[in-house]
Amino acid sequence: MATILIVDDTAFMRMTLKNILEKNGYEVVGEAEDGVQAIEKYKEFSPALVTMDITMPNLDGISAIKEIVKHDADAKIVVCSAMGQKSLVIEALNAGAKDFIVKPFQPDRVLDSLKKFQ
Amino acid sequence: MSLSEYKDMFASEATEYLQTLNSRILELEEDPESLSIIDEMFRAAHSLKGMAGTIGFEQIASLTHWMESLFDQLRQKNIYAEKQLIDLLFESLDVLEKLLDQPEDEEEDISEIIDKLGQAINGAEEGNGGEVKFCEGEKEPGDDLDVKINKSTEKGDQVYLLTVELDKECILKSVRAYMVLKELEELGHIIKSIPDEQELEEGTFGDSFQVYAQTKEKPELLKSTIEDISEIKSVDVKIHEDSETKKKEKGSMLEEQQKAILKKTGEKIIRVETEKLDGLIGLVGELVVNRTGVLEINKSIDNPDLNTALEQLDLITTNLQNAVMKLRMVPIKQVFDRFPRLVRDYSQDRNKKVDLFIEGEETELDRSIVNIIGEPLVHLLRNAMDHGIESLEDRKRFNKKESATINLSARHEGSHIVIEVQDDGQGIDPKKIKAKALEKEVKTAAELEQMSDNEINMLVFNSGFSTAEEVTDVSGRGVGMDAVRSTVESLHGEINLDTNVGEGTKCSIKLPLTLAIIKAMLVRVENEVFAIPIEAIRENIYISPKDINSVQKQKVISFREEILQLVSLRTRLHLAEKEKDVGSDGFYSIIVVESGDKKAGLIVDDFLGQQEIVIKSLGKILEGLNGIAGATVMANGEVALILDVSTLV
Repeated sequence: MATILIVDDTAFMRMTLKNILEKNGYEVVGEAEDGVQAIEKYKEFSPALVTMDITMPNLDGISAIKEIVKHDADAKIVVCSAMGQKSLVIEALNAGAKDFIVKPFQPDRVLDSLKKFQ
Repeated sequence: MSLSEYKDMFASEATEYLQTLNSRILELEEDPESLSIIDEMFRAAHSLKGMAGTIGFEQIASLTHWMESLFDQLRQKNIYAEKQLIDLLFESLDVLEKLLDQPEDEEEDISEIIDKLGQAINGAEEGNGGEVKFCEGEKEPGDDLDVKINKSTEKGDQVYLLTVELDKECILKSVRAYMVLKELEELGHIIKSIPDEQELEEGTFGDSFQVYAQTKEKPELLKSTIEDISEIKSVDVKIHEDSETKKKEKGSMLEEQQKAILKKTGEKIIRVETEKLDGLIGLVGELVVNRTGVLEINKSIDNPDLNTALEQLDLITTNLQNAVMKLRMVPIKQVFDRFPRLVRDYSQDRNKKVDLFIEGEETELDRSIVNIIGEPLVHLLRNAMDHGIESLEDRKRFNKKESATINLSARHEGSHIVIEVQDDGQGIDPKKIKAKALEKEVKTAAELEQMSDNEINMLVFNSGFSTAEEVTDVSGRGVGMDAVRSTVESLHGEINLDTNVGEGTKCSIKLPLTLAIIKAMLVRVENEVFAIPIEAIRENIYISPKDINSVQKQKVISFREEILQLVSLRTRLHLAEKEKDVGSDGFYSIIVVESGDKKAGLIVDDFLGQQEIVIKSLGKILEGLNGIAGATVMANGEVALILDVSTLV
């Protein structure tokens, strides 16, 4: 089953995502609270997929995406954005994210998006 | 959904865009280099063009296309917004307005204005060494596509038309569209998109959009690549052939874009027919009346629990009433917005300099009043510019600032709205008015002798006072100041003048916020109850029979040094053959009413008190009944007729 790294600064969002994913057979191999952790954990676990929040302390999602892509050009990162972050989402896509999902999460949407990368 | 259903929406939205253009052009005149103003005008013209094209108003689409190009040149600073250009823009707006108003089967000749716009644009391009966008006559949006395609097919690529439909629940539509465009750019080259990239970026489109893309790749690959993007419902890939097929496609695109328009406006605002709203207001009105009825009944029962419940009910109905009233309220901005332009043109025409200041344009009032009050205000403004404000030479002579000031303001005062038009012109001289009144035989010298200066000045609102030798295109239309007053009075409002010779004139109009509910005095005649709108009432008096005189069989009294004609409601409304005797206290109860410059005393049996009443029309059959303006249902369920004072005096 596909391994996933969840990156989000709020524990609640991480839990929500984890629930959705684990119920559907994904293996959550790690969780990160900010961009710095995300890069570390990506290198540590080499997950098949990453869900990436944009606004985070220390290092934001977009910078983290850039770093991760530098490390692994094939990284499959899905951006998790809030409504109204249009320009940030575009920036993230340009940085190398493959798709985006919009909070609040609808399980179907999340799964639809991730399914494409298997 | 048929096209005609969009037309009303189109018209109302288009009018809004026109107003935006109108006020921005005025702003541009003040600040010719402001990019934000130009940008906004560009967007307005662009949106109008899109809407007009969609609904098939080719002329509007074509004209706005040219305006858009002109704005683009302005934006690129290839031309400068000098006076000539501003005039041209206003001229274009006038034509646009005409196009919007005209019946569909008529065609306006717009070639002249388009020529002018084209010249302005061409001038800009010549000066700019040929950074040309549009200039060789009118073009269909597809024409430049053909040019681009012709260039591109030389390379042997194929051009495809992709119709991409997004999931209905897609949230960041613009980003999805961006992803689609990005993928396509990787596979080939995008020629154009419908709607254009700007609109895609703003996300202001419906659930679908179209892209012309040129690529060496197979259509299957295009389809699967795009379909792989999340939240894409479907992708249709067609080979783009020639203009023939293009025309057919236009039909389906039309539908798509109509959906887009509907979606765009449908999200934040719903448009409701005024009739439905009136129905709702009528119901709420009846609820209010019935509430009063229940409260009356409770007075005799006096049950504490019922009291509490009723108090709550009372509060909620009042809130409901206010909320419903608000639905009909629109900001007076709608009316005020056209005035800067009017003042600009008119003062230029009269060779006067006028600065118009507007205050309180967000003040709200009933939609029906907004529709009616525009004309009188236009007249007051023009009147101020014609007669109030002096010529440039005179202003210099009187040591006044060269440019005159007109303040137009609106504000709420209790349940009324007060609109003021104030100028710093020469004011109204009562001596001149007196002379004119005598000349026109509006008043006799004796009458004038007894009048205060203010009363004399108010004569300008008198019918027959319109000063014919000062014919302008206004007076020529036969709209006099008396028409202003009668409009205001028909709205149950009042009009007042405050003027100082040499300093200026302030004309204030006071109107009720709504026409649906008015304050009325209830009176009893025989066994019937009648309502008299409070605005028409000057005072209530008791008169002893010995004070009543007879002049030519007409009963009159001498009241405040005036001869007041008495009208017996009893005989006038055919409730009885003749006036009954005085009340038990030996006095007649009389209500002094005023309509226009006529006064009369209505003889009634009893004053019952003031009450807010909901006006109901009497319906088609009883329409135009002499002396009756409508009816209302009172708290006890009885019907009271509302008297039409203007036909009684």
